[in-house]
Order: sequence, then structure tokens, then C-alpha cells
Amino acid sequence: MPNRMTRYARLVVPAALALALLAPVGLAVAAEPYRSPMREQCEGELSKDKGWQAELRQSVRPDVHQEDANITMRNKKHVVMAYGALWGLSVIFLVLMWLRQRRLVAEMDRLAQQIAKAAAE
Amino acid sequence: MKRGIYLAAAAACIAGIAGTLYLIFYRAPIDRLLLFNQKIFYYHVANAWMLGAAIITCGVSSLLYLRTRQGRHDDLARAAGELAVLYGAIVLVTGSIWGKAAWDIWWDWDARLTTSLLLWMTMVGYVLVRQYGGPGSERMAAGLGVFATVNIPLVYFSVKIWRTLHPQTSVVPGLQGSMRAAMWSSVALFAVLYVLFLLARMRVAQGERRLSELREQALDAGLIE
Repeated sequence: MPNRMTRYARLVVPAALALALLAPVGLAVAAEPYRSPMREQCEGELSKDKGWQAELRQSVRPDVHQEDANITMRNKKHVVMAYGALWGLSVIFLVLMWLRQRRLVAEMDRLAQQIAKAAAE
Repeated sequence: MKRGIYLAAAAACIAGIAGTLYLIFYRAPIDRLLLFNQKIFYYHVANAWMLGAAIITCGVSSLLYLRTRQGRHDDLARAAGELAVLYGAIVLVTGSIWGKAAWDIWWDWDARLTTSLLLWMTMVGYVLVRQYGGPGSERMAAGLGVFATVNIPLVYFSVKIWRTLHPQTSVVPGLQGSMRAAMWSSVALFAVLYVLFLLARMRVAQGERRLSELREQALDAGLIE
């Protein structure tokens, strides 16, 4: 009689294999663009009329280009990250140094008091 | 008196930070190629130079310590060694962010990047030896400090020796006008900050030395085991 683990393996292994085989199909389906009769008609017309296709592409291109240029020009994310990291690391260093100094002073005071007390006795 | 000097220096640094940020973001023009991301350059390069200064300070003090065995040289070497780790981390992190912005990669095994990483790792080794090496570790660490200093020319000339993605050493001398002002004011600011951090860290190192002396006294007196 097969034990519990073997029974599970019989179920899980084929399921994993099926999932692995079906995953590319699922991805392909998910990646497929939205289809509609209007879209198909429009694509059909565009493929027939090369002039219209070029005109449409030309009218979209400057906008896309300008949009990309604006994103690059206004990209402050990396500058903010770099400046934040720089000052953050410096502040962490200072705080750790200050804590260490405080600990040292407290320990020195404690030891000095003990030594003075022992000397007095 | 000393506290007043520290406070005045701290106030000057805050003014310096505000001044350099004004020069970088409002006076220096946007770079033609790297655009706004080039603003990282001013602080990145200044910190890289401070990394060099910290390692040289550590190496020279280590050498002096090995020759004279005076504690003050060791304190200075230890303080500079820890600062080298701090500046190395800053340079690697800001450089990586800049790499992502300029080359679209966080890291590349480029000669300048790799030699800088190795130099930083040497300094991390120095600090770890000092921290956990036990008695006599100061001499071993001093050797590491000298070794790291000898490696600095390799890092500096790596962009000349090998083909690299990293900009050449001729970028800073080629800066003009307000870009040059922003660059040198950043260097001046971080040089002052470096000296202040070094003095503050040296005070901690002196405190540590004093504490170990007190511990020895307490041990002799039988107060601690």
C-alpha cells in the first residue's frame, strides 16, 4: 500500500508538469492585445493605406519623444536616492559614534568611582 | 572653549551644506549628456577624494605607529580607518545609483568599480581586525592600513590602464564656470566635515585607550575579574 507521501507525489508531480506546460500558453493568451471588430477594421484600413499609416506614425512620434525627454529631464529619483543615501550613512555613523562615546564615558565614570572607592578603603 | 569651536564648525558645515546645494541645484547648469543625474557627481567625487584622504591618513599613521609604537598614531589610524569605511560605502552606493541612472545598471565588474570595492573591503578588514583581533591586533591592522594606501594609485589610474565605463580623471580639471565652483565648494565642505569627523572619532579612540588603562588599574586592584 503506498504511503501518504507517495500518494501526494502522484498528485503533485503531474499537476506541476501540467502547470509548467500550460504556463507559456497562459502567458501568450494574457499578452495578446484586445481584439474587437472595430480594431480589426482599423488595422485592415491602415494596412491598405500606407500614406495614412505614415501620417499617423509621424503625428504620434514627436509627442512620444517629448514625453520621454520630459521624463529624463525631470528624473530626480536617482539624485534624491544618492543624496539621501549619502546623508543617511553620515548620520548613522555620527549617531553610532555618539552612542559609543556615551557608553565609554559611563563605563569610565563607573570604573573611576570603583577605583577611588577602593583606594579610600 | 573646545565645545564653542565644535559648535562654530558645525554651524559652518550646515551653512556649507546649504551653500553647496544652492550651487549644485540652482547655479550649475544641467549637463548636456547626463542631464539632471549629473548632480550626483559633485558629492560623489568629493567623497571619493575624502576616501583617499582617510586611507592615506590611516596608512601614514599606521606606518608611524609601527616605527614609534606611540598610541596617538594608532588612535589617528583607527579613526581614519573607520572613516575610510564610511566614505567607501558612500562612494560605492552613490556610484551605483549614478550607474543605474547613466548606464542603466547598478553594478559592473569594471576596473574602477572593482578596484574601489577591493579597497573598501580592505578597510572593512582593517576595522574588523581592530575590533575583534584581540591583543596585538593593532600591528596587524597597521600592516593592512599601509597595504590599502599602496593600492590607492591602482584605483586612481585604473581608468587609464584599463578600458572602463567610468569617466576619466580629466573630468574635474575640465569643468568650467559654475560647475567648477559647485565642485570645489563640495570638496571644501567634505574636507571640513572629514577633519571634524576625524577629530570626533579620535576623541572616542582616546576614550577607549583611557578605558583600557582604567580596566587594567581595576584589575590590579582586584575590582574586576
